Amino acid sequence: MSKTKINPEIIKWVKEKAKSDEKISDFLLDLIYEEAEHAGHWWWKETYKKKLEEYSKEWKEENEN
Amino acid sequence: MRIDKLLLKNYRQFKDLDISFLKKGENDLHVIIGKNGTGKTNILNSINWCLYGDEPHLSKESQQLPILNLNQISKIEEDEDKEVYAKLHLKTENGSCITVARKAVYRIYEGEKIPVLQKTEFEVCVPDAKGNVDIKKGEDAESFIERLVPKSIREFFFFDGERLDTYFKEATVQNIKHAIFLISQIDLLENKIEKRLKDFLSDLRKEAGKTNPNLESIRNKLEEEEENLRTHNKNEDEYQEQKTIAKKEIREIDEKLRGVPDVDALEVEKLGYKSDKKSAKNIKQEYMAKRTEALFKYGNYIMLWPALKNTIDTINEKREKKELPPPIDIRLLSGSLKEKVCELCGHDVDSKSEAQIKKLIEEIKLSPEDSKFLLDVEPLLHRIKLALSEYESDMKDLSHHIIKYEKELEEIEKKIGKIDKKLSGYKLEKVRSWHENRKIQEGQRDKYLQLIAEEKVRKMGCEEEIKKLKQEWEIGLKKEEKASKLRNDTGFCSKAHEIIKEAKEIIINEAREKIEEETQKLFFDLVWKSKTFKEINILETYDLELIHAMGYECLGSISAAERALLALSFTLALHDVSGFDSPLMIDTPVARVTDENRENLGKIFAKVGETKQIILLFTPNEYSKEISKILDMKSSSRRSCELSAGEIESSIKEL
Repeated sequence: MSKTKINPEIIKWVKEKAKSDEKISDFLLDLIYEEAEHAGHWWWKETYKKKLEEYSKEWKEENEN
Repeated sequence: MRIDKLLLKNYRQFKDLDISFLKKGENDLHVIIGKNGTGKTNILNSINWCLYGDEPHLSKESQQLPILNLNQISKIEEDEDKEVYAKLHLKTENGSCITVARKAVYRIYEGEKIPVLQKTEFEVCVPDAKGNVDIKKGEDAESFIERLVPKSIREFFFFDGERLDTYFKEATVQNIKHAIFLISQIDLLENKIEKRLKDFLSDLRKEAGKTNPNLESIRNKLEEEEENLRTHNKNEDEYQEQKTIAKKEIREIDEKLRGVPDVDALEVEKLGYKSDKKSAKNIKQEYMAKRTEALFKYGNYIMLWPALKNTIDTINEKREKKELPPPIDIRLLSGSLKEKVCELCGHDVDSKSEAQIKKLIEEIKLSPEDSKFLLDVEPLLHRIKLALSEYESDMKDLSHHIIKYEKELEEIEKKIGKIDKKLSGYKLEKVRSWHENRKIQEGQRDKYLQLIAEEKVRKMGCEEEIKKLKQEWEIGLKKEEKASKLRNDTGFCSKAHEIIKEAKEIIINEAREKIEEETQKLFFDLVWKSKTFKEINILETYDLELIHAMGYECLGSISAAERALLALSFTLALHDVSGFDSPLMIDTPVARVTDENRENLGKIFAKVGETKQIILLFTPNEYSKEISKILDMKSSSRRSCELSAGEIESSIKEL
């Protein structure tokens, strides 16, 4: 698996299942690439928290709009 | 990713080795041919050692030897260091060239003969887009390699062809599932993102629960129900595994029993014949006894028959001549002569009458006693005659039955003989124990099937309850005005978690179906008896089934070569479907395949070489004309691996 090599089916189906919810789709794809870069143990919780804060905030704003 | 170059220094038989695997046109297929013991397999080991620091394919002989080249050991001065070195140049899909190098330094201490490891170094150089090189060492380097070519699935890209035969013997549901999950990166979704989002969601819920006791109560119930669901999933997985173990046992027993008669069935059949033999023998003896009895009964009549017949004839003759019964009683005639008075009419007997009476007496030849005797005995003689005429047909009938049962006994003996012949040469107790074990395993399989069904029902109940609790949670959380951010975060996280779960389920099923389809296609292209088999199924449980044309599952009874082809088809399908970017290196790829079937295999290798790098390590015997006529044309490089005169060092030569 190269740095950006992700099974295209994963990308396809995450996008398909998230449908029009782009924020969730972006959030998940971001996590997928992040996880692919970290094969062993890593401090995932901080990264997840940061990304959740970021995408969730944008998601809320979009929903409110 | 492909291997551009392999460099070895002082590694086992290779003092200095530099092999480039250059692509020629569309073909990226490379062949190395070497006799056993020349170090061919150690090329595969050196790649493993370079990437992971171990050598999984070492021969027993090599296991006893140090990794440092023997020639170099003999040249080491005391306290001098010598290094073993393996370096790989890897080219990724985006064209960047990564180098992976592992070095081990050895020293021989004074008075010692065996070199002692001093240190090892592992280094990966990764260039960035600007051409700067990032040098990774130690754990960083190992972590990088783990992402590039995970060690846990290396057996799907660097493997020994001999292993192909045992693959589906050793394969469990878990390791087939594991292979598909890792290669298709489903593992990344399930064990990383899904699990971590779940943990994160649980933390968020805990935080939200603190705002309201009702919410906390719902949360507790939800967590409890989710825990129950996990337990049922775990149980189901365990039962699936147990069921597979039972199925595998059945397959192995079937393999042992291939061509071996069903001892118990034959023994039962034999017992049946023995019982038939006993009753046929009894009936035959009954008929023989009847015949003896008849012979005894009619024996005297038969012996006396000429005399008896003569008597009957005499009686008949006498009757015909009207002598029997006698017309006049001789005693009356004699009395009349004596008294000179006729005893019938009372007239005197004159001389004329006397002469007539005398003539009559002369004509009457039977005495009254004889006549009486003959008349008395006549009915008895007729009864004997009648009995003797029945005796003939009775004896015929009895003899017919006796012959019939003798033939039947002969037939039964033949059948028993055939069974004995079938059973001869087998250790009956062992065969019987296999049959018994098979029955036990069938029972186990059925038991776990039942348990799986029960767990599925329980899971459905849990899922229903979780759905209900989640709705309650949503409603409860909406009422909490203060928890607006938490509501948003949990909603977002929950939705993301659901999406990743749904996407994962689809990818799992798609991957399984595609691998099933591709494995079947490749196998039917490869196998020489394609009409023998109907289809290949990879079930939802990851059980692999090969269905015979007659409709039964036959994985346990196929030949070693067929099993090797099936495993190779499965491996190639995994690569193809997952789009996994790695080279394929196979040692002794056709070891178990007979000459006539190698051509098909050669075609498949050539086809694989058009889309990914494939390095094949053959023995000269394996590289037979059937395979060389395909691969000579399609290979980008062909090399031979040869031992030097001293049989310590090997070299690789272009062919």
